[in-house]
Amino acid sequence: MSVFIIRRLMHAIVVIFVMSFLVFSGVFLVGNPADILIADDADQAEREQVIRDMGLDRPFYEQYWKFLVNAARGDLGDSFVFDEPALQLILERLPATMELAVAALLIAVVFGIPLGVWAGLKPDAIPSKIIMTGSILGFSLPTFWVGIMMMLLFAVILGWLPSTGRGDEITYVLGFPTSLGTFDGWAHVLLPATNLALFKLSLVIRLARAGTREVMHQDYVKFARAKGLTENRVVMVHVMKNILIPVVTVLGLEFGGLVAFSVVTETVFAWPGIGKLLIDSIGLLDRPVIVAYLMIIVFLFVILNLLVDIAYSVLDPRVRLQDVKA
Amino acid sequence: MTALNEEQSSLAVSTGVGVETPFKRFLSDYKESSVAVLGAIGVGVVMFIALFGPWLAPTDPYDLAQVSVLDSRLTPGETMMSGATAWLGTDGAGRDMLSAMIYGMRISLGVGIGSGIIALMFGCSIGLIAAYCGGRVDTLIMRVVDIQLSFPAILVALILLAVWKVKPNDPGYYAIFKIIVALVVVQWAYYARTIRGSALVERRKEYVEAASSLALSDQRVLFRHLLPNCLAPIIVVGAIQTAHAISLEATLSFLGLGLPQTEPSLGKLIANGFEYVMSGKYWISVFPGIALLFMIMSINLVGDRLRDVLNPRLQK
Amino acid sequence: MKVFRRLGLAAVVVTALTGPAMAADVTIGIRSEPSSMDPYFHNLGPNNGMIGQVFGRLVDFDSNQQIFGRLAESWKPINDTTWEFKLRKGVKFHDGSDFTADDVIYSFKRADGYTGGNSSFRIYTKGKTLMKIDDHTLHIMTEAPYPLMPNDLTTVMIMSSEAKGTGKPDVNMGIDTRDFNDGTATFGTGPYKFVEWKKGDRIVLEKFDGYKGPMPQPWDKVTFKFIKAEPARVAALLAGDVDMIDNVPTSDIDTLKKNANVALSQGVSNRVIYLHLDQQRDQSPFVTDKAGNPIDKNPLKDARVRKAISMMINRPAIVERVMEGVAIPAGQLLPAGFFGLSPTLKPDAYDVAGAKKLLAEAGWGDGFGLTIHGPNDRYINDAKIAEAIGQMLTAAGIPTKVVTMPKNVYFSRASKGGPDGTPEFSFVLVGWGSGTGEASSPLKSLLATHDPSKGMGASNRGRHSDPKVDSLIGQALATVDDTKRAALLAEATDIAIGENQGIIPLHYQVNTWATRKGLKYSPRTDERTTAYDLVPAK
Repeated sequence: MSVFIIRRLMHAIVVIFVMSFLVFSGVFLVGNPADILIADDADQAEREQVIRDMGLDRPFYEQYWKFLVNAARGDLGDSFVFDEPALQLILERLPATMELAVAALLIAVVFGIPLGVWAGLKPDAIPSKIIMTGSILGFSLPTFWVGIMMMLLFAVILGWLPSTGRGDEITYVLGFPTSLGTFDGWAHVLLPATNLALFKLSLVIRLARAGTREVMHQDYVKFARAKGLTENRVVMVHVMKNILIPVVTVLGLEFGGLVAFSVVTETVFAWPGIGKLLIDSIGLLDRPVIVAYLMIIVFLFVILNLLVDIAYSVLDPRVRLQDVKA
Repeated sequence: MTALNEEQSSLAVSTGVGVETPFKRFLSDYKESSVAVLGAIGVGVVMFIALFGPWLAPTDPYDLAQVSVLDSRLTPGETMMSGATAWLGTDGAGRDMLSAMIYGMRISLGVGIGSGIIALMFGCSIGLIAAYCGGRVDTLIMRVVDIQLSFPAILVALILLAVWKVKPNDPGYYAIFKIIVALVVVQWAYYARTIRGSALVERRKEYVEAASSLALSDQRVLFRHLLPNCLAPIIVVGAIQTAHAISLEATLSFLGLGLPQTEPSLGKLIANGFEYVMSGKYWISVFPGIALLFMIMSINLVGDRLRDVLNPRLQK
Repeated sequence: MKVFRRLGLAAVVVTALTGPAMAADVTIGIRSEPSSMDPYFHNLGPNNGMIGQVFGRLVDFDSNQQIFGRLAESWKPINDTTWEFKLRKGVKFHDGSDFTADDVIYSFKRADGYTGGNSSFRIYTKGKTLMKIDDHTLHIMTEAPYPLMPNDLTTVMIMSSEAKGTGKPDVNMGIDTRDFNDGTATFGTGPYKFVEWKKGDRIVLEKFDGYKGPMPQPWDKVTFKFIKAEPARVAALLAGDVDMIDNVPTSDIDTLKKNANVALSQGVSNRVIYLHLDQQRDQSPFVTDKAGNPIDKNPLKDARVRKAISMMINRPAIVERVMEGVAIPAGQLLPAGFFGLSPTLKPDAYDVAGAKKLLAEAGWGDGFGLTIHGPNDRYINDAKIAEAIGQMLTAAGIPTKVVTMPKNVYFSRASKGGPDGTPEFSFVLVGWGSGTGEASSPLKSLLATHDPSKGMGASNRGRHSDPKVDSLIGQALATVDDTKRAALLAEATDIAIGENQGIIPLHYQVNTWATRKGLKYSPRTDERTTAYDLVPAK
């Protein structure tokens, strides 16, 4: 097992390396950040000076080599836009995104599982059909459109919730700064988190329903019923236990996606997380930030995959880690 | 239920569309759900619009000579300069919304299905190979998938935009190609991961061992035995991913990286509508959303039902 | 402080209502986040606006870009090459130290030698020698007569010579941009003190009680929130989360006008939106025949063709239908009221018949094909303007394709995407805001012959070139007498635009701010959003 984990961590390093090269060269191809950052009325000499200061006058291989050498020392470079360490910029903003992703995950699970199980137990009842048809809504419309419509309805027309931004009060829970320690924080997170959760909510409903329907036909459920257990107990214990495993594993993987792709939600709701940082950085071709961000995200994905594989082997003895390793 | 039964029923479906009995059974199974029938009708309507759009639309919204900003933001029912009535109003550039939505639906559907099919074929092959070969090949492929899944679509589209420079005499569909390529690059990994997951489970089952012990070629085992048994999840993922591709194209348009300004897809129309949400000009932002919702709902209702009908574990 | 007047939640949060006094706190939703609080790091609109509230300048622009004394009480040229500045007495920095001529000299030194920034203020500091006469008198000398001295000094902010930082001692006087971002060195003489900057979220400023100077201080605490998505900014105002927003999207102006709880303020900006046409290459890559095939001549080199294109553009229609009435048709580089304008140049009238006649005269009566390139996230409604021009030219017989892209790809390609770093496109849509508030800046950058060695024509993407125009600009930049200089600039504009059609001006942007009822914002031509231009309405 530990050999397996060490091997996977080595893979992670290779993957991060490949990612850094892809992103570095990709952003290099797109254009020169100095062309966007520099003041309109700067003359040509000033332009050249700025390009030199950023090291962008050097050939590609030289820039990349310098990046690698610094990265090996733990320095992922300074942001072109802010001239602050890229890693620090990302870490400063990570808690806000984490908080949004966790809130979204909670919404997806708390609403998704009961609705999905219900739809799976009574597949032909009208409410189940409404649930299933409604769940299609979750991935039919682009996030930005649903987000702004929600803002229009709940913030502008009804005035129930704040429109944009994160709560003012930051409290520390286990050393992590969060705005969720106050009511105001929750009021702020509710709209963006729901917006971000919609897609996952549909997914959870679908997984839970599919799982329930399959499990209901299994012999052990029939046996449990035959034993005369109440329907509640059958559902809560026997069915739940068996559908939770796939739901939890898929969500484990999807959590990475939530963090990585909160880009649009954060932009619409002006949420000060790393998704907004990424989109702003792409807009200004702030290469050090983009590269550092994606290195972190791909690392997150690899680690989550690893955890899921380990979880499988723990939960299901038939899966041996040798099966999925090299 | 044994593995043998599963194989039979799935094979019957995958190979037996032309054979009468299973197809009839499939039809009657499908018809049991009235919502799914509505979905099928919806898909029919969407297909009809997509195929015959240019004959259905009152105006040609992509012909710059016919569109004028002087007609912009007319409310539904107002008359345009050409004398035609804009039944659903006009957008910010003066296009008749109805025509633009009909044309846009064609493009969105084409982009969604086109990129979906290419990504599906590519992703499934890669995923099956990973599951079947195992070992280093599997590891390598899955790490590539990891990279791909974390690489944001917007960056892919941006790089394509900067590198793939369109010349003035290139045909107009190059822009659509570009988007399809970007969407395929973004999507194939989802298919690869999904099919690998189910193929890993199937691979251990008796029928695969049986097929292998008959000394059938790897290819034959992969595509004739493994693939059909992994189809159910692929159909679901496929229907969802098609929807996802269409909204992804909308999102790229929202970020300024989608289809050309003068030839908007449905997704681009929605992105254009974003800025009108607070303006009270509901027809610019809401109608394309409803059209997209209708289109994707229909596709997914059909997809859901197919999954249920085709899933042997649910047949009792 | 966010007010909890939310319907559904009101019962639960009654206790949250007790906060600091709200009367003099204000929250402003702005589109663009600055890139630094360092006054010399990045010469960029959002930075100059934000930092200018914390740091003072010797002289500054009022909301109409008219110059007034801020840290200087008076200034005048005492001979051809020397300007004398009398400094305001009794002014204190936020850290308590006194403001003297030494601080000005120190500030110029740091600005002039700045390394590692995104675009420096060197273009304004170079060639100037500062000499302290006494604590409150300063002489600034140049080699040659220099008329734009006060204009240049509206850009450089003054920091305290006693500021300490954490950077390497030999770089930027030992003070890093980081030291300004976290407040270590952020001590200016402005009406507002820097409190904090939460990146991606907000900047908070506080009233400086020891302020001495001409700026009003109506607010105790000002919070700037960065809300980039246009409708979200409007939503934030309508929902009462912010008291003011800038860059109100044109699509929402109509609705907001009808809203009794909202007040709008609009003002023309110093930004002109215009078209560059390729006047250099004999074969221009995006000029084709009507079917889109390459042709071996470049019609855009003919001034008559350029004039015809200008006449095919229905400017009032763009203003009315695309900009929703919020713009002014343009015939030159700056709107009325600015320095150095041509008194005679008017926007070209929409005249398709006349344009076709001109084309025929030039030998292009059958028309040709064009592609217009434009950004889609840089100027107000930029992509829609490009599309409208595509419609108008196509309808008038020049089939025009429209290609728009985000600014991060667009500007690199438009400026030097072609072979050998030449502009890639043939017909491009761009905008220009005059930072100095007069006509020499756009003339120099857009219409003077492209010449890197002289620093001329840096943004001349159409490569317009006319020795007469070059020499007039050169003369103007060395003429201290305002009347004479204005005449020279006007003549240069007349030739470059009126005769040569070197660029095609479309319209001047009008910027809109929206406040909740009870506040009033004086719209600024330089597009800045500041707390001192916002006052409670009477």
